[in-house]
Amino acid sequence: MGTENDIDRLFKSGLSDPEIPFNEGDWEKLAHRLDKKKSRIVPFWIFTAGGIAAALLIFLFWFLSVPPAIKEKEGNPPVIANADTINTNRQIRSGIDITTNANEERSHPELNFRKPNTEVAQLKANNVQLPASRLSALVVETPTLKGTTPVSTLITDILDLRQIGMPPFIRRSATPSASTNSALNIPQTYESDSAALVRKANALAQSKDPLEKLGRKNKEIERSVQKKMENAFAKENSLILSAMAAPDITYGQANKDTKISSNLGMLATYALGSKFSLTSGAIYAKKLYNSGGTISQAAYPTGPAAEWDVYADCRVLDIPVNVNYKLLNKKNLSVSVNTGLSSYFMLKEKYTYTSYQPGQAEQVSTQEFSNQNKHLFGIANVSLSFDHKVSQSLSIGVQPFAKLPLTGIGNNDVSLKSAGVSFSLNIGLFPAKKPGKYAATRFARGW
Amino acid sequence: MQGIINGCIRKDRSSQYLLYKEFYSYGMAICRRYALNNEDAADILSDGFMKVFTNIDKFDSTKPFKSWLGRIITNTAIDHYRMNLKFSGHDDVDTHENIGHMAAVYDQLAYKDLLALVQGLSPAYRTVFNLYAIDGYSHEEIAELLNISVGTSKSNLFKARQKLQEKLVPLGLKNQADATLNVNSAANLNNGSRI
Repeated sequence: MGTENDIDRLFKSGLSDPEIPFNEGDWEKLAHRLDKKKSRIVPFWIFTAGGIAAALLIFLFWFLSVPPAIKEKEGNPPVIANADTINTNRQIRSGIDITTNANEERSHPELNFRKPNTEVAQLKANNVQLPASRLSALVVETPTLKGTTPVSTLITDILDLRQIGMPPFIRRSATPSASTNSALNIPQTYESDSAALVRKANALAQSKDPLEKLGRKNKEIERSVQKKMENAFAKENSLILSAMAAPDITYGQANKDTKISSNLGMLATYALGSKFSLTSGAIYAKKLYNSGGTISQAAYPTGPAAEWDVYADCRVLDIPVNVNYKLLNKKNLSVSVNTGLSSYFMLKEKYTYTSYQPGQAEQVSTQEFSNQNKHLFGIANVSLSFDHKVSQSLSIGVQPFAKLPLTGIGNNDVSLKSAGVSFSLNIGLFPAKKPGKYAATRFARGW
Repeated sequence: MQGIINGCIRKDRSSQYLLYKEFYSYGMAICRRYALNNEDAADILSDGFMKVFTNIDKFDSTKPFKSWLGRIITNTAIDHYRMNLKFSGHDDVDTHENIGHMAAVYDQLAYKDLLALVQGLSPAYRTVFNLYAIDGYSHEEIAELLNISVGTSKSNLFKARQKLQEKLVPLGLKNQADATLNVNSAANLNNGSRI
């Protein structure tokens, strides 16, 4: 207690206990703040569950919106006939002789062969040697369903593509069936990768009159086709740049109040193969959290147990290095699981500590640090990413993620965890050459 | 009162309203002393009651609630101006302890006049003066609370008193003149004359 003097006494007596009339307006403002606070506090599990549910919904929507490769027609199991079921017994090589089974049409009455009835038969009769490209051009147009379009995919079965340098895995694009009377039912809009590839090869071969190339230009055409196909299947060294923004919830060991943190960053993803890719970049994060607890009597034996809390406002540069593995790769959607490590560079840390002792005023103190702490590879990243292709080189992504500390973070070595959902816009700097599913959505990013 | 507190612990809005209304005058009086003006005081009071309602479950019911609330509001007020607290250096204040001998005429000053004088002080002087002279903190407590030295606390208290005394002089003269005028008026009235 201070020593009384006249000025102190004058002001103490004059200011101590005035009657200030109650102001309802002040209460209304406070009540409004109390309402806002109540609605702002979202339990952590609701946020997490909401993020996961949203990601699953988006995944299901995209997954179900992708058209299936072959639709089953009621009563007729889907069959794409192969060389055996058609029983054409064609032997196609580069340079090439053709033998056509005379029973072909009889065994497949539902198939109309337009050109083979004439042109192929003539070729056979004359024992003409055809290059692969010419042959494919013929065969692609050959088998048709009654009332349907030509089945271009048959080429992959009919052609022995290994003879012209194509990888064997595209040889069959559909499941062969034992049923010889099954109808083909392939949506006209669908074009598989292998079909697109063959169409591309055909277009190349047909760009000039292939008949002129018979014989003396045979090798040249074959090389051209082979080169195109190799290019189409070449390993893609595409680099994807991503701009991302992510709200998250960051919390320490004794989370007291839930606050939403924010992240903004640029990431680059480089393909290591068809399934794996590597992601790194820089993310600027504003991490807010509020932890609290009780100071035990053991720690402060002279006083009563006190409550404390710390409000932290940290600016962090997050440098992730993640490996991504593609789980699913549909035409417009890819799903990847991502894991890796992050390094946190604590650019600025501000901690406001408040302690409450029963019957006493709260004690408030503040600490600030700049560029004092860094945690190299101190955080584990786990995420699941869903990427939807918008165009050949553009995709958008949604990625629920969690960041788990492997070491204490910040000035107080807090076990700082984060969980949230990242939204990204991805641009392929070197678009993939292969058509179809290996476009911009080929890589998923993880951070 | 305990029933109201229990209601506040349950976040019952009517209990919160009753508690706020009950301690509005007390809390606002504290806030006005520490604030620059009455608008700031209202904001501080709102912040203070937010803390009260948020932490009321930590209140020890064996202690007086009024002092607990008062301390929270006082700390809220200090925090409000913490960034503006620029304390002057450590002076040798022992030689100035005699300051503050006031004439009885100042006892007649109204609440609003005294409040205006206190609000006219700089945040640092105002805070130390309020804590020491009115709220009864010791210099050691003030030093710990404001993270300053005991000497700085004493120095700022001395300068606060000095400033207040400087401002009190004209008010005292005016008060004295008013008192004289009132006496003369009364005498004139008694004599039947008109002013």
